[in-house]
Amino acid sequence: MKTVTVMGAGNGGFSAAADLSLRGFQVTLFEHPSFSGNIENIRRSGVIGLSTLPSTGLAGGFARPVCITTNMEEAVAGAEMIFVIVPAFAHIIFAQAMAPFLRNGQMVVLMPGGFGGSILFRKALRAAAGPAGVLVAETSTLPYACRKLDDISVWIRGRKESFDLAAYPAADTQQILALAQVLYPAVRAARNVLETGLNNLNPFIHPPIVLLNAGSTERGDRVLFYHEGITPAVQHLIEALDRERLALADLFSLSLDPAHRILLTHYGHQGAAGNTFREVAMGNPVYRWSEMPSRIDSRYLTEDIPMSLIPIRALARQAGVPCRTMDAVITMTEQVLKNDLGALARTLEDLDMEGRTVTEILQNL
Amino acid sequence: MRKQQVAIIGGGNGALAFAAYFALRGQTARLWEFPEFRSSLTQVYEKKSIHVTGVFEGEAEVRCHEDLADALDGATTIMAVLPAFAHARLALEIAPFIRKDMILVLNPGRTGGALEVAAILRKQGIRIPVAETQSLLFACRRRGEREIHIGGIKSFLRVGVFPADRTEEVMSRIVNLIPPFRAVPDVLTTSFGNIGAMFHPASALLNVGLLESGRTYDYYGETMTPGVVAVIEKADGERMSLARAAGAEEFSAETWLHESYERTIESLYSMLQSNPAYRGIAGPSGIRIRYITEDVPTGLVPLEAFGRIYGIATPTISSLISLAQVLTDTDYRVSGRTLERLGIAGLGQDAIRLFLKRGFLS
Repeated sequence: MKTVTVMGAGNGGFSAAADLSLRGFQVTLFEHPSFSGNIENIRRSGVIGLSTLPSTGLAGGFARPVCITTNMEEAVAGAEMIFVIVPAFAHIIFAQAMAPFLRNGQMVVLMPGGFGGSILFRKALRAAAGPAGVLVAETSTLPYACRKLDDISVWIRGRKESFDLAAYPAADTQQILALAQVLYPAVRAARNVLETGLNNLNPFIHPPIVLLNAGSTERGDRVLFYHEGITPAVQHLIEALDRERLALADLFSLSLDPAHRILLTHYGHQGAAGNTFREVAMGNPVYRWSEMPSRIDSRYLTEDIPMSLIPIRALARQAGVPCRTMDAVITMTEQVLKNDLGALARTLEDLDMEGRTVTEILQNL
Repeated sequence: MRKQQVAIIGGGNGALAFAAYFALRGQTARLWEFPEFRSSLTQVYEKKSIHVTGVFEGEAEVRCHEDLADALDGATTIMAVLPAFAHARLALEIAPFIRKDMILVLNPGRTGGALEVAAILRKQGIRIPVAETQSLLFACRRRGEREIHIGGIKSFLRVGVFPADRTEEVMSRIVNLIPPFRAVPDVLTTSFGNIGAMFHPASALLNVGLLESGRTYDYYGETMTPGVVAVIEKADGERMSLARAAGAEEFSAETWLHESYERTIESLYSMLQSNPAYRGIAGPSGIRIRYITEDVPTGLVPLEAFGRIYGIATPTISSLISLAQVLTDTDYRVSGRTLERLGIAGLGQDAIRLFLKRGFLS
């Protein structure tokens, strides 16, 4: 019996806590005291209701995490594995909050890490005098497609069949993977955190769909995010962005799959099929219920752009790889949101990549 | 007033409105359209008249020409009423028939229209004055094969002339024909006054999902949401900075709406949403539409290029161009109005000023 702590009680945290509990692991669910409302009702009953689509292969039911808490010390103590499932801009805050209680040998996995999340996490841990022997890794994506149904239950409609994990430094990957695979058999090793960061499709998919449907969102039209939002021109923009992603990956000797192939590896087992991103997404049964966010300033822009696309563009620029499409998407987002996202964004300096060559960066990872 | 011969090139709403306008004001209106676009004019060509409703009413007699040479023979004023991406082709086609006493007016020129056309003519040794208007004189719509409804006519419209030294000469001939025309110091004011390039690409690009949805929609009412207007305001700010830096007349999109449609100045969002002239304009379908294929290469691209000359950053305009390029697979920065095509590549601010004034540098 493994002991796991899930940090964060949003859609992903609820799903992980419920799924892992029902699969027989001892789970502690932590939520930051500022968001204690998220766990108020499940703490009272001790139960999270889990519904699943049968095609996920996951059983639903009443999940009983062994502990639901806002006490960080309690959450960290004794956990063999800690999954951090929070918005990327909270990674540093969680590192600082966890630092006093972590012990050497404990494993922390950011799920997912955004771009360079585990680098930042490790640096923040060090700055907060946390123990040097904590192992830190990140995944390319959340293992689920899921939404809370209310404040006591969650619905998992997609289970990703294969996703990546890499540690920072990469030398720790195998050790973390061994335990992570017990919990999630679908997880596989990535070469380094550049691979997990670039295989996180969110920043390459969400912003094009949101931006090119900005008018609809603001008018309050109900548009299905994937099934209606990806018109041919949107597909075109997604493809152009994806080419820039793949070109950057190539430069770092990572041979990555195009976006639609990644989607097929995630959801092929649930019936997704097709030859382009648009085909796969529109035909993906898991996406049937995904709606356009009700506001344009949703995390699809406010998280994906500053936490991923801006540092990825910075790396592309520094390395001399084309990034004009990323430029256009980022600038357009800033104009639409009337916001200088660059000020909040992760920088190459934060990630210790500033001014370094490809070889130096790979060496450091 | 002496009867003048005016040749109108084009066959869309604007061209028919001009033909009717001149005929009803006692001029001889000659009409010529590129043969491949002439099919919509079959009845006009047959009956040689246009039925006009709206601010003018009546039956306007129009001379319809098969040959461009005939259309231009005896005409002293050429009114081009065409999409701006056709201006270069127009210049090449009319070049053989140009006489020294002719003037050419682009209705409108968008950004750099007069410069582009003059550059092409200059290469063939032709140096007639080329004027450009800031926008189309009429609010008009086709109501039948040979029926045009002129809902409104602007009470004043800026006209720039290249070279500026010939402004008086051109205006003295043209103001009689079209009283609302007002001369501005040079074509930078008309070219930097391209408000359509502010409104159209941003609203189209941020509504691609709607444009491709296949449903009918009201263009301004539905596409001009607060986030879209925020982008338009940013782009318009860049355009105004450019006008200021170049010493051209500087006016905002709000001011232009106020002047053109007699609307009270409010927020741009309210003005766009409440302008009766913008109601009921059926939105186009798809993304290969003039709001992108015309406004990007003949509006945003030259504005971005001028920004480099005058040291004005244009991040919004540039990102609109980049998005449009990706979505339509077209390198508008190459195919559009570059500084080379405008005949001003390599010129600094002072040289441009002199060039715009005289039409030559040395």
